[in-house]
Formats: sequence, C-alpha cells, structure tokens
Amino acid sequence: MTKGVSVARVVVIEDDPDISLLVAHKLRAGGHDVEVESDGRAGLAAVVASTPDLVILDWMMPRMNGIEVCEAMRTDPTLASIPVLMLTAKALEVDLERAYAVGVDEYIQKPFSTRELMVRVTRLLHA
Amino acid sequence: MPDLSTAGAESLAAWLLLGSAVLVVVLVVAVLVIRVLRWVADAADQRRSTWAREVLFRVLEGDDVRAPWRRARRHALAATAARLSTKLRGADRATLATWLTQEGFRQHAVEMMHSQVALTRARGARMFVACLADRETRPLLDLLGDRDVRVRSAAARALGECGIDTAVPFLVRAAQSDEAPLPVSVAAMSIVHAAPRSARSLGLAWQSDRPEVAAMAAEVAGFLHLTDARVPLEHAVAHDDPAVADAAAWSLARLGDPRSATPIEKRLRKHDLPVLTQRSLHGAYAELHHVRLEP
Repeated sequence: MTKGVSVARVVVIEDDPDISLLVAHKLRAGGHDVEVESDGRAGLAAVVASTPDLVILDWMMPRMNGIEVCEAMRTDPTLASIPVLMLTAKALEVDLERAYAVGVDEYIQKPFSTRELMVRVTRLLHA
Repeated sequence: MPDLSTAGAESLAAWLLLGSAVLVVVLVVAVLVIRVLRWVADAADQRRSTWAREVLFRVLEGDDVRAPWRRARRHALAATAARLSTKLRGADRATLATWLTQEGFRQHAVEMMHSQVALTRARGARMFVACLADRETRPLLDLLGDRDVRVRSAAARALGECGIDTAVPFLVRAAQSDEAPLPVSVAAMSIVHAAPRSARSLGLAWQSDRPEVAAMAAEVAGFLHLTDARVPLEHAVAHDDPAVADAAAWSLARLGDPRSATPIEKRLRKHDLPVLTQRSLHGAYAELHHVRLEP
C-alpha cells in the first residue's frame, strides 16, 4: 500500500484498455479498490452508484466525453466534492483551461508516467 | 411418346437447381467456418494480449521476468510493448525499453527493418521504437527513405511517437523528397507528436517548392503555438497558393499577435483572392483586431 494513504475507492474511466488496466494495476498495487469503465456514460453511472474517493478520467471517449462527465459530477451535490484527475492526450493550453474551468482537480498529459500519476493520486486523496 | 427435348431441358434445369442449392449451402458453410475461425483467432489474440499486458506490467513493477521463446507469445509481447510504450514516458518507458533490449526484441526489430517484405519492415520500425529509451534514431531516419510508402509512414509515425524534436528536419525533408516522398498528412501528424519548441525546426518547409509542404508548416506552427513562427507565417499569408495562405491565416489567428493584422489586411486588398481565402483572412483579421473589414 502507498505509504500514508488508506484504502480508497477509485473509478477509472478510460476507453484505452492498455492505459485503464495499467492504471488499475498500479492503484491496486497501492492497495486501492478500483473499478474500471470504458465509456463516459457507464463511468458516470459507476460514479453515481459508488460515490468513490477519486475519479481518473480520460477526455476523449465514446458516448460521453470526460468534460461532460466532470460537468455532470460538479452539478450533482452528492458528487461535486469528489476529486477528478484527468488523464488525456489533449495538450493545448486551451484544453487545460477548459478542463480546470469545468472542475478538474489535476491534469496529466499522455504519454504519462505512472510515478507522476501515483504522486498526484496520493496528493488528491490527502487533500 | 414423350418430347425428348422437353425432358432434357427439365433434367438440365433440375441439375442446375440442385447445383445452385449445393453452391449456396457450400458458401453458407464457408462463411460460417471463416467466422468461427476468425472468432477463435480473435479470442486467442485477446488472450495473448491480456497475458502480454500482465507480463509487461510486471516488468514495469521491476520484477525479474523472462520473455518466452514461443513465437506467438513473443509476437504478442512485441505488439503489446510497441503499443504500450507510446503511452508511457520517463522511467516507465526506459524500464520497458531496457527489458525489451535485454530480451532480444531490439535485435529482432533491427532484423525486421532489413526484411525484403515492406510490412515486416514497417512492423520492425514500430517495434524498434518500443526499445528506444535513448536517442538512437538513426535506423528509423534511414527508413524515411525506404522504397515503400508504408514503411516510410511507419518510420515517421514511430519518430513522432519518440517525441524527439531533432527528427523534425528529417521529417520535413522526407515530405519534400521527389524520389520517395512521405505523405504530407503523415509528416504533419508526426511533427505534431514530436512537438518541436521552435519554428526553426521547420526551416526547409517554409521555402518549399511544394505548396502542400509549406501549408503543412504553417498549420503545424499554429497548432503547436510556435510563437517564433509569426514572421514566416506573415510571409506565408502572401503566398500565391490559397492553401498556404489559408493555413497561415488560421495559424496567425491562433498565435493572436495583433502585429499580424497588418500583413493580413495588406493581402486582403488584393482583388483576385478566392472566396475561401478571403473568408480565412477576414476571420483571422477579426480574431486579431476584433474588427471586421468590409468585404
């Protein structure tokens, strides 16, 4: 388990199985309880059902994109306080601005480092 | 007495009907067999891919893992590693590359890149990138001049995925080549992925005789927000080719420097502009100056 962090429930919403399974593997190795969904709508349903401690969210996904998922979470009082970490290939300044504007807490660009990801996850779970 | 010719025709028709029915049955069975075989092959691929992911995740954890020698499993490992490495950076990528090199995948990739078969060379290029933690890109740069466009494209994509901006002048040169040109769209995407920090990397492209290459440079500069591209873009707005002028106008609007409004306005004073170019220039001018000129 990651030092100093208790078991957390994390929902990973990502349509690329290489990434979602790697992230889930790292989080489970850190002692967390992980649920993986591969599209925005299913991911939002999982978030509503389990009210996790953290959501890791891709931007470009089928059915509902990450920005829409985050917006929906922020307008729901029961989900509004759940931290969101966006993991995306979108790398422009305007994308970053838009993500933070809709309420994303952390933003990591792909290609990514699992070490950086775990540092930010720990930080968000401590906040 | 029966009419022999009618009986013969009926017999022939019956045989034709029977033959057609048999043919339909054979075709249906063949389609079903192909579908089942494909489903079995896909399921086996899926299983091998899942297994390969688990192996590579253990490698990333720093476990001592040996690659198997069975061909199908090595192939699955190579394909999954090539895919996964493009999604990682830093220590993860270095760990993966070191392991693949130790397990002989890099040597195999180099051999594939010298194959007589174009698709094997292209696959070798992708595999080689997965083994790259350093900046040794020479074998990929050599493949930019390959006789087969699929190999040139695979090498360009692989270079882009490496994220090495020093490859950009080579990609530009490959796009400009007369003998073995790299498709401009592939060059553009590869350059975007390589993400140069300065418009100087695109040097040759600005003066290219081929308008599509100059247009690519203009578009990429705007997309990557290369602020030092302002002056070449302002020159490109006056280019004779509408595609170059359009791309330059779009990029100048993205850069957002109000000084660029003057060359755009100057170009708009020319009366022989195509309608689409006029629209692009008006749009860029409005974006930069917050004023719309009278058409």
